[in-house]
Amino acid sequence: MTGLVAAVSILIVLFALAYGLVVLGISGPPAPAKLRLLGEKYLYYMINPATKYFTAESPEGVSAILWDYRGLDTLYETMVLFGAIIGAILVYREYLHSEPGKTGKIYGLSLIVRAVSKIIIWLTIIIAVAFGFTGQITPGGGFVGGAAFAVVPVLLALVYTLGYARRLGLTHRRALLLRATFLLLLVLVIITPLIAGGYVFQNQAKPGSSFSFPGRFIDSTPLGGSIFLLNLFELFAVAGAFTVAFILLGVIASLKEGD
Amino acid sequence: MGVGEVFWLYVWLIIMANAGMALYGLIMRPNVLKKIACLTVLADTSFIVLALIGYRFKYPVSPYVMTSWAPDNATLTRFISESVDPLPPTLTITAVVINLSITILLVFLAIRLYEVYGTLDVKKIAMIKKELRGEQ
Repeated sequence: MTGLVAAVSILIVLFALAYGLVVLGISGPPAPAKLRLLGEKYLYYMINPATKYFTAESPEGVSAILWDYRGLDTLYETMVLFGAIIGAILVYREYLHSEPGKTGKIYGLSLIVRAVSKIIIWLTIIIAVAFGFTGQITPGGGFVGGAAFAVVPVLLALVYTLGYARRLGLTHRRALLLRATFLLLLVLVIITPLIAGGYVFQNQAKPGSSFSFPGRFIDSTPLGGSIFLLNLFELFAVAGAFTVAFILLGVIASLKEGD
Repeated sequence: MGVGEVFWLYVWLIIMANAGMALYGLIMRPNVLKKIACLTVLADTSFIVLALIGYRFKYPVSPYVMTSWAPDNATLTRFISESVDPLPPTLTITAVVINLSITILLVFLAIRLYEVYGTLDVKKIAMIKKELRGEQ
């Protein structure tokens, strides 16, 4: 009976949602032929030398919106991410001081898997760092790069065991240090314009403040000003945060096996 | 009803079916881990909705590649005439990250729940709590 009630109420909710989206057009017409005005303005201003007070010097629209036009949004989103990671660590803080994996198997999976993983791990690192470095000109950016980077500790722990990863120097303390350092650098980039007499989160020059981060690389490739730096710092901060979470999960799992 | 309308109806039906299954699992499944999985499915469905909102129907189209790093007005106008809305993908990235952080926190809490009660079944947990209250 409860199942039937739940199913009927879910159907009603979904019907109302579909009706609102498709028939009433709450979000505008589905798949319009013309761009919405807001999106048009973002695309027009993101790399436009003619409008120097509005440009973000980044041809990648998503990065320009994320770290320039709606930068504060992204800052709070980052706060939510790190709040969640800190919350997860707080739930299991007693495990952080234990030293598992020292007595367990060191060699992990078979030789073939380990040999292949060596290549894959380096490829993953290169791709992740490339995501962070070119976030202002191609799709990618700090979050994507950081999430890709966090695959490396998982692979290391899965293929070589957590004890091996620890012997390589991959400890939660180092990961936390990485996260904290790059978060501080991130905040520094955000408040630098304020110190220089401008506004918080300022990227390029605005009326009333001529401060601007370098918009172009030496060969005039767009650098996106602060977008480049923020993407890069976000990459390592996110990688550190995820690494802490994965190490913690691994420690919990290995302790449970030991019981 | 044209081919286009049937296509959109099909797409929306699939999205709604996905959301419906996720909501049903979220409400009716007693296992906490399944609830978390359903929550992520629901979030992923909303990302597809966001992507669809940003989708722009223009056919035929040859995506325009901006070759100049200092585009003039004509280049930008041509670029805008053939690009999709950049705002929904941006919101999707934000939503993905928030969803990821919520999932991490929920997974850790679920592990704690399992440690304390020895089960992830919310009905069994409620029974254990009732028994504990009766003993006191």
